[in-house]
Amino acid sequence: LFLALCCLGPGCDPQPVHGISEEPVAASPLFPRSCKFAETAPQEIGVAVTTLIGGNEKEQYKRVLLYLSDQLKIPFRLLTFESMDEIIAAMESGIVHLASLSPLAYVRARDRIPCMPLLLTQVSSGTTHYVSYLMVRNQDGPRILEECRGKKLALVSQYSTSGYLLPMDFFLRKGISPDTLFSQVIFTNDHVTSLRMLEKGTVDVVATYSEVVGPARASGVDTSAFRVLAITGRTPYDALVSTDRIPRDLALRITDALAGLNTSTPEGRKILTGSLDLNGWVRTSPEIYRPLAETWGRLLRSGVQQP
Amino acid sequence: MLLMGVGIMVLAMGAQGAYLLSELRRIHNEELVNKARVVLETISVPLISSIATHEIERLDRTVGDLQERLREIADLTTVMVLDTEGHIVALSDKERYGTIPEDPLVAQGIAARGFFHAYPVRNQVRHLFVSQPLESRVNSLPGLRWGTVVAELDLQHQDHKRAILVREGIVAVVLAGLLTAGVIFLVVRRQFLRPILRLTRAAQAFQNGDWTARAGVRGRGELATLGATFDDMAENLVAHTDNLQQLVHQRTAELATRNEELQVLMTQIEQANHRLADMVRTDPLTGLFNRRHLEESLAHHCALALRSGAPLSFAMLDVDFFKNYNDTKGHPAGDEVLRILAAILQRRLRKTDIPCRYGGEEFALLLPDTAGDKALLVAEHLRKLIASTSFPFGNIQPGGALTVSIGVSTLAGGDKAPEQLVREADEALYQAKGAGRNRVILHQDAA
Repeated sequence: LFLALCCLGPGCDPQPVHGISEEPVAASPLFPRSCKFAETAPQEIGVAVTTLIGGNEKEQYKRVLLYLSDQLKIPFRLLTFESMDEIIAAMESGIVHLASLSPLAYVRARDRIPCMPLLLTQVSSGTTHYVSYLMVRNQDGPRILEECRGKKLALVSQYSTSGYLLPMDFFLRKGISPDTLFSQVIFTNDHVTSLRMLEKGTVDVVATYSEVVGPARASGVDTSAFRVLAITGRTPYDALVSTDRIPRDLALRITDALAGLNTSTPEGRKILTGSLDLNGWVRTSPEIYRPLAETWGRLLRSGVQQP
Repeated sequence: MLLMGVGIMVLAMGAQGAYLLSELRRIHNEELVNKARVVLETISVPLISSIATHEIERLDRTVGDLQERLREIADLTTVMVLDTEGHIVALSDKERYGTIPEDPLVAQGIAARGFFHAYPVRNQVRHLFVSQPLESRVNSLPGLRWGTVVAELDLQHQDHKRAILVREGIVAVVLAGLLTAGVIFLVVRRQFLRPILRLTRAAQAFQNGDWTARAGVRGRGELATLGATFDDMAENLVAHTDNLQQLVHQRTAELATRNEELQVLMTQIEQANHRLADMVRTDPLTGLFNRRHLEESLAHHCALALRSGAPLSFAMLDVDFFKNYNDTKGHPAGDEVLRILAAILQRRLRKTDIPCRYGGEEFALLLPDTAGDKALLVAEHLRKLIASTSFPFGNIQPGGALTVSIGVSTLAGGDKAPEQLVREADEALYQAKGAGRNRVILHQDAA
């Protein structure tokens, strides 16, 4: 009782207690031991992006490459390809040394290119992950999934994570076959194009992702006319990978340089600001793409997707 | 003992109450911290997005949302967003934009790689300081640090509420403790103490002889069983004792009967012994002592006379012509004569004199403390009395009457064997017979 009464007095108030939630610092990118990396740097570092991005975005990338050239004193050249498949092929052929792959493209490329160190994960809107949606029009769009029967679905491409993999897995988990639920399923190759088609009424449901709103709005699409029908999944942003055609130390220097570039500083904002929502990169781990690889495997086993 | 136990129990409950209150306080603090942490972690996503995209207006709006959400937890003192170098980039006080706060806790929050909290006391009021790094990263890898959001909450009202809660809790604990202790006391008293006291009293009373004492413990449990066992044992003991007493009474009565029977038997045996003894020393025809008794008495009185010096006389008496009487009138008539003579001798002699039937028609007379002359007088008196007595068919005797001859010997201060005394009396008797019968002759030594 005495002890209990003591607790009423100010003397029993706890001394200021400090609590810090610390997490351990992790290691550098993985370089497989079985891989033999080039010992000398190439004359020029080829950096691959898809042609799906617009001119503004290309300028953003070019500023980044200029930054890297200044930092590392090595010329970097921007190479554009029609699709992720072409980029992967170019990496295999040695033309491309550095590439920004969509999450699904990274997962699929790992099977084809074993010596592909994962350097960084892109940061957009301040985060390393984004959410995949099924988006519909506010006015006349279906309100529940069952109302999608007979509607038209727009996917992006078979290398798109939010525009293909996650929505297909979502339907698979729901026991729904898109071919029977929807009257038509089309590929648009581009998220902004998908939203534009949704705005025009060409399609009724669009498989896209959370951060598409900015670029779409910049392209003149009225995104306020849309709403989310369902969340199909969550995935990390694009993976920045290198190949065994560049030395390890150069890959590490590129990693360090890009990890230090972000929009928190005026200099970083000057380089990165543009229609492409790019805030920088963070050091990463293949582990964060593992759920996506499992999803891809599930989809393959279901027979929906041929390898 | 019971009060001490209850006291210990109350103390234990008090300690437990203190521990519970301490835990309550800890849980309350943890709850506050967790709430603040959830708010900061949730709001950090749009904060990061606003900073990353450099959308200052959105940042301010997000900070406004943060303030509202923190006010739901406690009174809000400060919310600010700092960049990686510690400059204020968002705050309710816009005049401080771009400055670095001097609070060391803010510096600790900036230095921390994760959520940080502390309880600073400002103006004697406890505050909760929390900070959350605004960071984009993958798993545990070092990521992009956009800045830090810090907030401070005034816990005065929270502590006040908690103090009231604690106070009420203490009162509740104390009341519950007292109530429990009281209940336990009553239960222990009812269930244990009372039965034990009843058992003790019953046992003491039983020990002191009150065989009607019983514990009378009711209910269930070990003590009730013990009480019932005690009562059963007492009943059995009483019944057993009653049986024993009854058995003792019965055995005593039987023994008394046996004793009485034995007493009667012993009396009968004694009488038989007496009779047997009498038979051994008595002549069955005349009822006088027989020759065996005479010899014992003669030896005894001779020894007595020798030691005391008192005179002792002895006489032998024989019926004159008794053969003639028997031959003439038969033995039954002779036996009748002998019985009459015996009756005369018993009747006329002193109590101390000992008449015996010596054998046949001879009688012996032992006369203690009697000198020769006196003995002669006694013998003469007897002779005359017999001679004058009318015996059946006495007239057939020579002289017309039944007579006797008597020889007397005596022992006066000299040493003489009993045999000699008898022999001298017998010699005197022969002399009397030779002298014509119906007379008394004193042995010459005695004369």
